[in-house]
Amino acid sequence: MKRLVCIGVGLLLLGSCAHPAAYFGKIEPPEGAVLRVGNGADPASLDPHRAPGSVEEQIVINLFEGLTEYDPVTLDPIPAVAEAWEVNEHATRFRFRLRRTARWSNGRPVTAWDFVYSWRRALAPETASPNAYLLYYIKNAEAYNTGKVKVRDRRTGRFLTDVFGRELMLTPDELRRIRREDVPSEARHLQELRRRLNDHPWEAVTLSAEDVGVRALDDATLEVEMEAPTAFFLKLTTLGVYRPVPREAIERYGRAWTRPEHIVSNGPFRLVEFTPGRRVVLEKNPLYWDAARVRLQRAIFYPYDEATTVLNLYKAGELDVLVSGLLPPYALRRLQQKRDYVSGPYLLSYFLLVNVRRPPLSDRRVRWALALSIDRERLCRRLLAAGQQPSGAFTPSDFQGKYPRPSKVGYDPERARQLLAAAGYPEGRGLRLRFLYNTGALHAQIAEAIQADWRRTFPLIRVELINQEWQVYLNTVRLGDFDIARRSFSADFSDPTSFLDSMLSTSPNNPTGWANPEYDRFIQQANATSDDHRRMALLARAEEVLLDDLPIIPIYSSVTNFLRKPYVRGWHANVLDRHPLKFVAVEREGTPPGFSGR
Amino acid sequence: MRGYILRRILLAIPLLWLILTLTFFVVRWAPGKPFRRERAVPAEIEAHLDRHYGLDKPWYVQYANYMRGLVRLDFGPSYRYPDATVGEIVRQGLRASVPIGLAAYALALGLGLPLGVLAALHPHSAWVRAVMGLAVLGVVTPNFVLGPLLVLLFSLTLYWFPPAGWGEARHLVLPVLTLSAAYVAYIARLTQSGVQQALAQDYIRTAHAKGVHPRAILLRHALRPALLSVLSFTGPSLAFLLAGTVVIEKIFAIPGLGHFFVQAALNRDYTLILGIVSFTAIALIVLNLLVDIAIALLDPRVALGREG
Repeated sequence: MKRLVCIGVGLLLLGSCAHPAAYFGKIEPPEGAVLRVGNGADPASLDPHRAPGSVEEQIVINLFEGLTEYDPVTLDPIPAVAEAWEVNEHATRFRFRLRRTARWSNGRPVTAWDFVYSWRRALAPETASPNAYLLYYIKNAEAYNTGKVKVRDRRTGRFLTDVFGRELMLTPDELRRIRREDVPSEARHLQELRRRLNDHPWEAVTLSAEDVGVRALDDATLEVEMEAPTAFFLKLTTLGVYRPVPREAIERYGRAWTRPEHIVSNGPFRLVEFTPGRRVVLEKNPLYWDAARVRLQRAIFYPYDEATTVLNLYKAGELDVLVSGLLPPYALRRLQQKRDYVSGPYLLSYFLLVNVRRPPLSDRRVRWALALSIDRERLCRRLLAAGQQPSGAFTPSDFQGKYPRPSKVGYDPERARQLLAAAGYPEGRGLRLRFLYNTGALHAQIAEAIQADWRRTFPLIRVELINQEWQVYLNTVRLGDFDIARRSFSADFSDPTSFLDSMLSTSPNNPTGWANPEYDRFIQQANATSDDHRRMALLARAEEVLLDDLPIIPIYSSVTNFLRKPYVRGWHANVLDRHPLKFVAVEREGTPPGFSGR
Repeated sequence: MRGYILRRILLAIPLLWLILTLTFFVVRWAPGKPFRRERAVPAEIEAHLDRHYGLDKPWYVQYANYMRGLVRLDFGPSYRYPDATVGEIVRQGLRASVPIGLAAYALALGLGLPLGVLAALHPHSAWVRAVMGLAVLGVVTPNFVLGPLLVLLFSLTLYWFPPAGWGEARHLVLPVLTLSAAYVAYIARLTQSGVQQALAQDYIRTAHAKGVHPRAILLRHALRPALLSVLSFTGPSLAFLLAGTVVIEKIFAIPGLGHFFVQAALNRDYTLILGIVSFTAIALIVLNLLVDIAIALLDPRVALGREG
């Protein structure tokens, strides 16, 4: 039925704008310095530690200011609460100098102690933060959050490490097994560890909040010790989950602390209204240290998610800018001719998960044959049409030229046929696959296009398409009950690690059953390397191993695309679709008619 | 009568319990979990979340805890909105659904009743027929077609009303029109046939013969029985109007109960689903009871609570 609405309204809409104007709909700016954002969904929570995704992040980053802030174009970390920082040679110790002018909205200065409190709270098991894993790079953070223990040698007083020099961690279950000498023979790393432990008097150490590697040296100096070299740590300190939260409000009001009447924040904006399903209203925070720079007086985030409704509201001048991904596919080609249309690269990979536990997909040749017979070029051009790039790799980008991204998978139906014949399925005879996807977006059309490509290359193949509702699909994938499943994955922060970590054999995001010790080793080695150039090279080698084996079949790298009225300044297309409002303005005067730049 | 009402209310309690128990288990049987997103989090973090919301306990403990909360009218926290309670979200949804539902209901009655009476009195007038025809068009046009059509005309061409949104009076116009369109026609048709039927009765002829004023005949003697069928139709439909109309709320982006219900189902927000189901059930039970009472008051042949 939703599709019916879309098509009906789509036809009408397109009919109504038959003569192309430069802009889509009204272009008169609203009264006052107000920005009305189509944010795509309701924020689940405005607590930076309980805010699970990008919808929340978009709002939270304007309420709370971290040590660093996103540059609105490049997203590189720029000084925020921290005015300067030092890093040691191995990128294992960071020292931040906090600016003394930073204030909470109740007037209290923001100190290093606020960060210590906040990061400990984010990691506390009782907080149940879904994003706590993003802090695991900090010393003892993972152990504290997950309840894992470290192993200390009683004679030297030092923690035991793995081959890369990282301190070992054991789950309570692993510890019990080692103590009871009840280690299954297939758990090789545990067997090895047990042998090592036999040579030492040892003890298991449980780690608490005080052990987490974040310390306030004084009010204005914060020191962070890392679990391992983390060259990209400043990208992490920009994330919402790293932003400080107000201890006084949390201890006083508990779960209700994020309500407008209770909340205390330190960012360029403060919260004045949150009505679920209707809107979130922010207002300029007069106590913000850099308030002179903030040009918006108000920002309103609307949760509208129905693509056609969003488009109507934008056209009627009720929304000034949209976050990426809200445009209805049927209107895309028309909108692309408008000056309000903005697009750019996006750190999101669209790919297929392959269940390598199941024959015949356990055969690498079959996976390669399937991958080589997909015409990505045509899929992107004909079906997607928003500028998506055909992808030959898992990572979607070369990260501004810093990452030597291996791109291996192309379109070669001839070689695909040979491979499949060699694997024992000439022309696809006897090959039956179940292709799982979820309801929504263009997943069905993409699945059909891929099915058609496979049929064209292997006339006898049988591919059954299975469509499931979102939560059912997530569950099916998690249980590993699929042959092929569509998937997309977006970066938490702009570093290839954010993608590649997800294919580690231990990652909860790897339901393919694929585990390659060589891959794990390259990633771990990269994660223990402080030299960024070398680290990137190691990550690329890991990705090469991944692409040789193909437990995932790359399809395309995505793009951001949205609409922006000509009077909105400082809201740029960027690779994470993050838009700190500190840099955004609504310009009432002097909007040149042909304005289309930043 | 008082005994009857009391009995109906007492009967509603086991009914509600049954509805909630069934819902409780059905939503838990649906695959998926409240906190699942595309990006999976480490197992330990998932365990923290489960523990935080008591989802790590066996089902009978969860059920007992939930029912214990209900007795104290505590519907628990929403899983989708961890900072808010279910009660707050339901109230929030009602703040949008009730004005729209009531306005659409009033409009439907206000237009439908006179239209039906006119149609019954002047069955051969050309303009009455034209208006009735238009009303029937309202019934057969699904609201997901009518809504966008109104948006296209009044918002995107004439720029009179906003195409969607909530919070100001101007936001009400289009959704109320869309929502009431179908009901106007239903009520007009029901009224028309009711009045026509009544007018053909012997007691009306008697009244005419006795020289009663035609307006009095219409209002006192013909309209009253006609209203019975309208009432028994509009009572439950009011409950549905209040409980939110998913399609309208989707098209016009209204944060009503229907909107939250769909979101809750998609997100496996168990507590919110249960909260909205119980509200809807209570609204239906109460409104049906009110309709029965109203009918008894209008129709002397109906005597509540007296058997036979």
